[in-house]
Amino acid sequence: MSMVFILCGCGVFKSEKTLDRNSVENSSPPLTQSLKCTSPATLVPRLTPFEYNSILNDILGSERDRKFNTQLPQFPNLYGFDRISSPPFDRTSTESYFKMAETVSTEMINNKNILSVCLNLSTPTEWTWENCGQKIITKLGMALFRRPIRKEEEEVLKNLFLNLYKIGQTENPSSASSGESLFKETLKGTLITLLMFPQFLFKLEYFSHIYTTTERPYQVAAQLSLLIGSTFPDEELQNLAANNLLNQENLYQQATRLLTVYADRFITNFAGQWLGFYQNLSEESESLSYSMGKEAELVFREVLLQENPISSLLSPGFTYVNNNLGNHYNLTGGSTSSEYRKVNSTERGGLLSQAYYLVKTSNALETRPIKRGVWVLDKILCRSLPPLTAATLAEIAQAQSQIDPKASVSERMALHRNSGTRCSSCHNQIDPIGLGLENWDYQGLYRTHYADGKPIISQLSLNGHLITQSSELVPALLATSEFPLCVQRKLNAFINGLNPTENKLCGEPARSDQTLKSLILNTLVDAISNKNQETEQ
Amino acid sequence: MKPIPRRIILKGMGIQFLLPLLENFAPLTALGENAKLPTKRKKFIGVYFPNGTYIQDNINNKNGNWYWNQSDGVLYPLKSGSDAIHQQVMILRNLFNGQSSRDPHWQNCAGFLSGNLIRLDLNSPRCGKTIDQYMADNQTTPFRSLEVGGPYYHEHLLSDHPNYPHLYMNRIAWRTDELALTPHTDPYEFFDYLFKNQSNGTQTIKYLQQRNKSILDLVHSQITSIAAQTNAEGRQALEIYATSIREMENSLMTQQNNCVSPEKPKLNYTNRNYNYIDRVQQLQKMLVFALSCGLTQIETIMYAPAVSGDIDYRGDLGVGKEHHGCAHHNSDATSISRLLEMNRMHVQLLKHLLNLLKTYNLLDETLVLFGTDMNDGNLHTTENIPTLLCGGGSDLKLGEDINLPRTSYTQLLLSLLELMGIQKDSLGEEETFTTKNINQLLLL
Repeated sequence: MSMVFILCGCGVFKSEKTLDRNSVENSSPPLTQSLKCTSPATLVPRLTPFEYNSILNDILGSERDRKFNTQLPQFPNLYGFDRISSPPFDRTSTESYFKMAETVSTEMINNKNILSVCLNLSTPTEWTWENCGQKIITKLGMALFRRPIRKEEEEVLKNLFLNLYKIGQTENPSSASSGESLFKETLKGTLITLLMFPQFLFKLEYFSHIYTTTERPYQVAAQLSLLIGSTFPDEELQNLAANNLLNQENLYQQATRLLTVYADRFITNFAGQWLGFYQNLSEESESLSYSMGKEAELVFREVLLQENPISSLLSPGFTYVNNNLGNHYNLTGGSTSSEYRKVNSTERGGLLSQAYYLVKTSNALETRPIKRGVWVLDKILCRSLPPLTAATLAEIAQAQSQIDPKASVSERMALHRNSGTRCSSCHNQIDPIGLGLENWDYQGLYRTHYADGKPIISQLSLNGHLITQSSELVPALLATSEFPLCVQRKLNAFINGLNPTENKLCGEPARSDQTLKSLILNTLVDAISNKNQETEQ
Repeated sequence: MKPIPRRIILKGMGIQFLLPLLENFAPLTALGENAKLPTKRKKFIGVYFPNGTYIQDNINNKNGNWYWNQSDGVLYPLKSGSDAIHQQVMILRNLFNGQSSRDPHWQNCAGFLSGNLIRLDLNSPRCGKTIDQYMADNQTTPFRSLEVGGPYYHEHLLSDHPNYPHLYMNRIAWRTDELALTPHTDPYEFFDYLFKNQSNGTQTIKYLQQRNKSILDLVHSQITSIAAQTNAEGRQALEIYATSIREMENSLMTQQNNCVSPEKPKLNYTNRNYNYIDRVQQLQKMLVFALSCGLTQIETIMYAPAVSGDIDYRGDLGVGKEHHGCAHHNSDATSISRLLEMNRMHVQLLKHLLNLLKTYNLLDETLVLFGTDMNDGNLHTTENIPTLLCGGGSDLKLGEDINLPRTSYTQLLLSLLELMGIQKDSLGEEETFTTKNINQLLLL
């Protein structure tokens, strides 16, 4: 098979085959190129605030709510995901990281797990670099650098430790007198340094030049661990790396294991960014809004872990509610407490019937059919609309000036569609979906009439299916391969930095009957294997 | 000969060639070390507000409501009251800033102080080095510049602007074409940033300075060591990090001495929609204080990010539509009225800033640019961009309402550089490229 090299904004891809997919209509790409993707040829990516938080939580132990990431500058998104972006450090953000390093290191020097090697010593006067400082740094180095600390790194840290110890003895008015407090203060300075090292803050595992041959297995382990768990390799993975046993088969097994261990993190990081429920999960857990975000998370989790097909994201046949959300939906058989329970339902649970998405695409007191249509085009179908230029806005303003304020929603939308080529090119795609979803009100509750008694009218076609009510949308969306391919494109954006609105795919094209889990695992493992092969070459 | 715009040269090149080329590219670095600096004008503040304003009869209205002589006008607060300050302000009309292929929300926020074009075809954001950063280049103050901003990072979540990074709506100061500077948005955090360690005793401060110097030295050497193992792209990212570490280190010894901090802010700023006016006033107080005691000479303020679709200022203006929704008012009277309130609120904040500068006797030496991304937020028009120039010395036509001939906004930016004593041959690129300035129209 001849190999075609394609240059694009994201690096070099080796095209293995070109598929003709004319079934996808409108602005979605008619051709899908299946590629063997390598990791992005971007600037060295930085540890995202989410990953920073996960790593430090894993080091510090079981407390789940330490939010070290909230005070760090936000990362710019690349195609909706922050995982491989590399915002340059300016002084303000560097100072934020320094301040955070001070906070984290203060917690570390009082953490019993980290200090255990020192605590075993008989007196605090024995707390020295040789007796326990070195062991702490070696252990933390493995976690922070996601590979064993190198001899030369250990050496410079030892020198720093001894230097800081001396400065502390002579200059620090508060800790000079006591062995334990002087040791801790010195350790704190050393840990701040470690937390500011580029080996921690930059994801050097995407940059093969930096790894020695013996470190390569750790590079692979770290890539896998960061991708799935947003953290450093756990003990099992470290052991496989130490024995150079991360072959293709073990890699797949480990990916499968980690996807279970770190399911929550992967779902929050990938699906939370893709579908937007990440932000809702930071709200008060008693609020209805939080319950809606939680439903979105739990349904995704079940589809992933129970090996349901990709199509079931749109119609799972069940949902998760607590008493709060169950009452809102008026769902019988749901939870009577704040615990979330699975409830079988053919009406609820899909991406187009969960309150979280329906509310998010509404205003305070009314639905926004345009916003809903655009949301589905973006998130479910990976279609892009042209930016709103001044000429388009002028056309919109012209159309709006002609709208009768008493006209129904469907009449107003018809006027949009028929107001010129700029308007119609987008509204022909937006309106069948936006109007089709009008059965769900601004709170995500089902209705057949508007509050003023007018019936809901939807008479447009999507993929050749006439949509008269919201329940007809899912079969119409699944009539083509656009949705599973979009899920795959979002994964490719998350993992490889590909633009999901372009016609490039990594690996074999996804099918709607394929399990979500297998798609994720294949894409993850392929990305890492390809990168590894590239390094070996 | 007209210099070739950098973009044209850079277009076909890989990013790995970028840094060395920029270093040697004459028009960029011809910063006029020998240029004559006006005696007093040595400080600069760039102030941005989003979404333009309400223009009564729409496109190409040269005067609109951008005046101060009628009580319903947006600028009227500058003229009213015992603290009227309009004699220190000039209105500039007929500046245009339109790039047909780019939405001005993104383009004219990121390009507010550079005139450069936002890039939509890269996988990391890039616009252009801004005039405040050219001004900051030769500064030896503890902070080369300070940036503050409105209370949140705006994200446009729908796909109607594919390939437009959010960063373009949230940054107006760009240290290099790629490095956008993060504004401080929380008064508490900004207070600590400026006046950290002040609560410690002298001995502790001395200890922390020595400790942090050792730490930063080692971090810097590690960055250099790792950078040497990477390729050009890796080096670029790591060298930028190394520079920021070096900046922190350089300011360690000089930061505290002559500055006794002002009072620490008191209110709760966790909700972006409450205590907005107080938040910005606190930030402005600290900015002016920083100027007065020599912490910096160059500052920028974003009153809010571009679009501002998630901020309704309900704590100060009552519950109502958010800013972007008001800007797209579609002639709805309630939305227009609220938009005008928001515009006047930002003008009031400008007045607060100017009066602070006056109190500290800094107004003559501080040039303030107050501007926005478009003319009419309802239609995204980019003719007659609302722009004010304030303070900066008695040789400027302050107090006047100047009807310029139709003039590119980039020409104004080039003029501001020259007014600050920095000679530069050109600014902008492609359709925004210019070699002209309009100093003669601004000076008496």
